Amino acid sequence: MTTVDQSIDLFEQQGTASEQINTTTYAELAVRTGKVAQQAALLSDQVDQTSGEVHQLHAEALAQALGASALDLESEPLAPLLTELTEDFAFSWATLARCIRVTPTAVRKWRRGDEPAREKKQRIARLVAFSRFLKEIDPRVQDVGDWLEGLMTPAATLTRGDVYRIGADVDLLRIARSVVRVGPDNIRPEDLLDHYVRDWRTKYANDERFAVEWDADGMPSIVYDEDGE
Amino acid sequence: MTVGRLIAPESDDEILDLEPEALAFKPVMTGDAFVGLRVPGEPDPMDVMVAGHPCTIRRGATLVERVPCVRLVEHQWVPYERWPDYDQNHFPIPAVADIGQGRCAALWEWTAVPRDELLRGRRRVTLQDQGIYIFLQRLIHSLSRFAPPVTALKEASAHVLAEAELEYSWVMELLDGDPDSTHLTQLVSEFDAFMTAENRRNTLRTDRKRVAAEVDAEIRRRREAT
Repeated sequence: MTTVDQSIDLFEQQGTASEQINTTTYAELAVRTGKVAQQAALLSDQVDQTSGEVHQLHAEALAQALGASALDLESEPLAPLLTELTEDFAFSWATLARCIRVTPTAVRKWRRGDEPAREKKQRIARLVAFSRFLKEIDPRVQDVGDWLEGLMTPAATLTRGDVYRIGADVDLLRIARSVVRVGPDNIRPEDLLDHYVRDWRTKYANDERFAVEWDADGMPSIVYDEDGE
Repeated sequence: MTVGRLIAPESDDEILDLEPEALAFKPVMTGDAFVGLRVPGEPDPMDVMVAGHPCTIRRGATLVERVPCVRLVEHQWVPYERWPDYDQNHFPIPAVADIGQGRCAALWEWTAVPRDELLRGRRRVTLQDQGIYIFLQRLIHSLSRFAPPVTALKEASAHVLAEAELEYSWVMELLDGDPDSTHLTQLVSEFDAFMTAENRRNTLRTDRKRVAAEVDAEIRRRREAT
């Protein structure tokens, strides 16, 4: 047998041995991999479930805290609450009234001394509590009134105030928190709209190509910009 | 091209302000309804709704001499959920307003009303800001079949509506007497002068908070002085 033949023989023997070893290992590995994959899937399900529970708990904790704060504020005199909203948080009468679902005139009358119905006082207290929470969550929000007048998303004509008005105050705070930190309870404005206003994509679609420009005479014009810039 | 759909109001509370104080003290604005007006060329008194855009019906705090309006007619009520796709050439007026059942603003029937006819004592409806945007969107659509996005209408009206809000506070807090009295005219004139001073009217576009605080402080100062 030549050296070359010996080499080939050795190679074949090694190859055969290697295949035998591999066949055994792969079979075992396949079983083990299956088990690990199964465990991973179970863990993943558990993580998802826990994440969902954490998400829910975060929302509930926030709702409880907001409710407790609003309850405290409800017993305070009305005038300082209205002053806090209009002066500290920069609410216009129109935005304030829209958020608590009354007319701007009703708010003016309360400011002059009229007493609101209890339910309306509760709404005012809750709006003050919401505004304080929002400033705490995101100190970059200078004026809560202006923040509420901003659009939920450029894709919709709905403002945050519109969404507050339909009872989504806790979720708006979660959106504000999602902006400042990543967490299990992060939500996107679009998700929130999907939840509260199901047909918003057709009913309240926005078109950013329409904008307002100021003319030389100091009057505004609505202009169309194909590029949407 | 994607354009906005006509908006359906949620409820009367979202678009109307029918409080007696609003009818008496708010500045005359788009969407206000008046009854029993004498209009040149018309044989009988008319009921109208102010139709001009907030920017075009006021020069500062003063109404233009002849104010574009549309006629109020008798017509069916349309439930709010049908507003986007039904009877688009009318702006139905809810029965809760004190002008009778089944009244609508006919968005094609235009007239120009002398400003002296638009007295607060003849006003029966005022709209909240959201009501004004919805009215304007419907009006533009009826004339052009184009529904501008409410966001654009809001942005183009914001500075005038912000000033109107401040004027309303000024008049409500300082008026002593009849809403159509000369005292009101004088108050509006003083408000106009206050907004013109120190460039407040222009500042309002960029810093509403500051101007609102200055107006509030001036109202307090005047009340304390009397």
